[in-house]
Amino acid sequence: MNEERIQKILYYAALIIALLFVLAPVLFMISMSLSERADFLGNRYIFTLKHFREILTTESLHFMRYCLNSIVISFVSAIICTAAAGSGAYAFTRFHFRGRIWLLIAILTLSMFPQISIVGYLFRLIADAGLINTYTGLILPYTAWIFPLSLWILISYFSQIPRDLDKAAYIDGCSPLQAIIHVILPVAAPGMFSTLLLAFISAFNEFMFALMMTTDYTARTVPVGISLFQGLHGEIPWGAIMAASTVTTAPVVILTLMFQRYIIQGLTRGAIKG
Amino acid sequence: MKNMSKKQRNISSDSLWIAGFLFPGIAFLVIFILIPVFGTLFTSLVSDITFMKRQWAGLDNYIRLFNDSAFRQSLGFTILFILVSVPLETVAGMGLALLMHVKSPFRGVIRAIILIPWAIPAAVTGRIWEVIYNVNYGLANYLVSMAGFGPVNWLGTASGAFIAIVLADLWKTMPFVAIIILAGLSSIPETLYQQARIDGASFVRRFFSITLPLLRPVIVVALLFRTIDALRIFDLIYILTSGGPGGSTTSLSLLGYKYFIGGDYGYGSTLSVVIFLCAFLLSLVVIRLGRFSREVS
Amino acid sequence: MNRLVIKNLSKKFKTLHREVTALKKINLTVESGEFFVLLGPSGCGKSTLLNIIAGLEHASQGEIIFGDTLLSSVEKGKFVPPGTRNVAMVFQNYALYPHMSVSENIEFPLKIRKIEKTERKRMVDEAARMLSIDNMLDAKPGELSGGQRQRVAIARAVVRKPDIFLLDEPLSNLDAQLRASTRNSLKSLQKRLGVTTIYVTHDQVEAMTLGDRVALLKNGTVEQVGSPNELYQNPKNTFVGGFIGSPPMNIIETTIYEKDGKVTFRLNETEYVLPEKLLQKISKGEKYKLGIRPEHICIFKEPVKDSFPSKVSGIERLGRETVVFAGCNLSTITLFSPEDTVLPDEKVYLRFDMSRLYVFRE
Repeated sequence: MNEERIQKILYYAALIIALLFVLAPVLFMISMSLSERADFLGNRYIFTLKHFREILTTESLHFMRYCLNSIVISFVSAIICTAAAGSGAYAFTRFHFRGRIWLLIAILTLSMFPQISIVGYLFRLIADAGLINTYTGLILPYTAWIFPLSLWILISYFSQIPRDLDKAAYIDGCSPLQAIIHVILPVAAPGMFSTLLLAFISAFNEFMFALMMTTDYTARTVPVGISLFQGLHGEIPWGAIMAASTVTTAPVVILTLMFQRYIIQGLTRGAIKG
Repeated sequence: MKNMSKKQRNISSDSLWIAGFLFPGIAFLVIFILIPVFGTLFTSLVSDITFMKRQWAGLDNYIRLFNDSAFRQSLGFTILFILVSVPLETVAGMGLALLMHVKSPFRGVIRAIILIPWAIPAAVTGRIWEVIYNVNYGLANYLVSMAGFGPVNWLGTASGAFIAIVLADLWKTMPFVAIIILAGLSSIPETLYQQARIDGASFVRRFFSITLPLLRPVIVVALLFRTIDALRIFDLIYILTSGGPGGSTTSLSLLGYKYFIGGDYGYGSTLSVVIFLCAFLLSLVVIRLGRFSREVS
Repeated sequence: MNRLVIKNLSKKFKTLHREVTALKKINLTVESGEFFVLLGPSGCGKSTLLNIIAGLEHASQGEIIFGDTLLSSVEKGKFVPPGTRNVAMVFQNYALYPHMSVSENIEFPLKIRKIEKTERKRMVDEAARMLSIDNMLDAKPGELSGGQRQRVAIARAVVRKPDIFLLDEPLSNLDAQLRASTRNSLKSLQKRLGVTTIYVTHDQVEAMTLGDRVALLKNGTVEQVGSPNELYQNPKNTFVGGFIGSPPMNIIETTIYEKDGKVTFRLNETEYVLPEKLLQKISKGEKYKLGIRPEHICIFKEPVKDSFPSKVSGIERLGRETVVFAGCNLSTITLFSPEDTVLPDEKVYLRFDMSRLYVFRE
């Protein structure tokens, strides 16, 4: 079958090109992080772990601190956001109140605002509350920022849980709260998990808010920290920067590999509803 | 199952429940997004420069903005960026989606790998590509030299920087487009293709006659997201070029950031408002285009 | 005596464009231990009525009384929540909790009522044995077949010995063969437990075989209530006549007039005198429709006494019998032919059993 053969060849060729394109920068990053010299391409490659040692141990680089900050801030924001979005999604799918659709549209419109339009005044708010350069000062805006997407995704998950399940729980004697705890939440668990993952990744990758609302390593997140790496001695320490990038990327990549199905499902549901 | 419109409970306790469930989310949104937006709107009408007295400026800031050459340069760059990168990303995303859709035992791994660029923080992406574009030992020039050409000053020239940014952004965002399109692909019934094959349609024919038309709504969604995101691009450019060389790659968001950092809050806010209006207008345009193309087909 | 009384029950709700009345002043009484069927086409309000009885929806007007207890009254502002009414419900899609095992599903209502653990286990085992599912107690609903899931749903409903047993089209998701055998098991289960049961369906065969009494609904009103036999023999109007029985009753348009002092009607140009017992239903100047069931029509190849000519328009051979479609006045009617010798477009002679003729005012 000629067409089939051609298709197969095209498929494999395209696949290889795509995968190479996707992986090349990542492999380059890893190679450079383990290389003695930055200009290893075309020259002898000398393997070393010194860059990793450097970023993990040099106190003044604060890299470990950045990692801690990012993980805590992202995790807390993701949890609060998912909980709030779950609660909101429950209301949207279980109650048919007036103006439901308008409210949803309003929320989605809010997500269209460019960060720059928000951050100016947000900075003032956070500063007046004395929260600049603190965990809370980032967690609160992050939660708000990630909320629309999380809500969108959870609405599509929740709307697929049959109403009959709620009814059966009521008949079995549950109060609405009991119904939520014993029936709705367990059934919605995969969706909540997807949303949590996506929220975590979004918070972890956020840049502008963190850039503008942290002043030193106390609450600074990894993306900002990495962007500021200029090195201590003049020439840009690519080895160290790539090592830091690798350390930053590794957990996210592992999360993605492990939960690829959940992530895609979450984003997919959001897309189809649109 | 026949599904009539739901119970219309008139008990006010219901409204209490609804409010309770919605409150946390809405509260966050109002405090940390809505209020800042209005705050910015207000500030845009004010002359607010650090260490100087805050005073009402009305539309002065806006007038100043439209006469500002930095603004015009930034606007030009941003528009060009949108026009180039959004179609590129969409086509690339479509191709990736097709690859991710094919049934194969490795599909999970393939999908996971393709997701990676999306999952990596933009800041990290910026630094990786920054070193890739390094003139002396970057991957880009290495490949260029293998093809027999001399080294390119990627980040040092206006056009080089433009290409560099488009390419890096493409790398980062095509997985997202791919996933959205993948969702659409998965919802096209297999039976349509079977029918087409029986009717004798070739692969290319099937793609253009069945796949593309049915993907239209999903492509519009992807275009919408990507256009708005392209309009507000910041992270990548901040790291790769800081808006240079000579301000040639300063996106609108980056310009606003510079004004804020420079202490001119009023002016920065004005720019922010303009950016938002552009985003709003653009989304209307994209949605209109989406509807229009549906009528045409 | 725990009978369920529904008084003047109405249900209205607003959609985006208009107000819809789902139920109009329903009055029904279900006797203790009765298997009562709510029958009707889609949209007639039967499921809404069931939900209101269960307490899952509120009525707009009217009361529901069970025994001595007022379950709900809009006028008096009383409402007992579903969990407290001691009703059990089986849904069309079974609504089994997907994350719980079969035994956990059945146990759930008992757990909520804080029944003690060993007692719970005993009750679950008893219910499981009754429904023959005691060998799959650890399985999850997703692993079971449709019929098995249904039995779990029923077990969950009977386990706490409810006062009223509500079923919403529980058989419609089963394939045809399973449906018949499950019908029988349901009927004998109900008889054994003696629980007052309300069963909703659109399938008149189910209604006729299962119900002690049937209420036929259309557009939110009860068209007729009675035993299956009553509905079959004495339909009040063309809707009831046409709904019950399969193939449905033939409804024929006709003009009734006076000729030679006798009340006369026509079937395909042949005149007939209206039977005595139907005379009381006639008054001058009204339009009427005739009803006759397919099984009460005979078909002949030659003209016989009291027959009228007709042309065959279609045939369906069912093996055991042949269904014949023929023209009468302006409609096509169905009838049976015991033999396989009828041909399409053939001219035949039909004779109605006049003692089985119905006349409806319309």
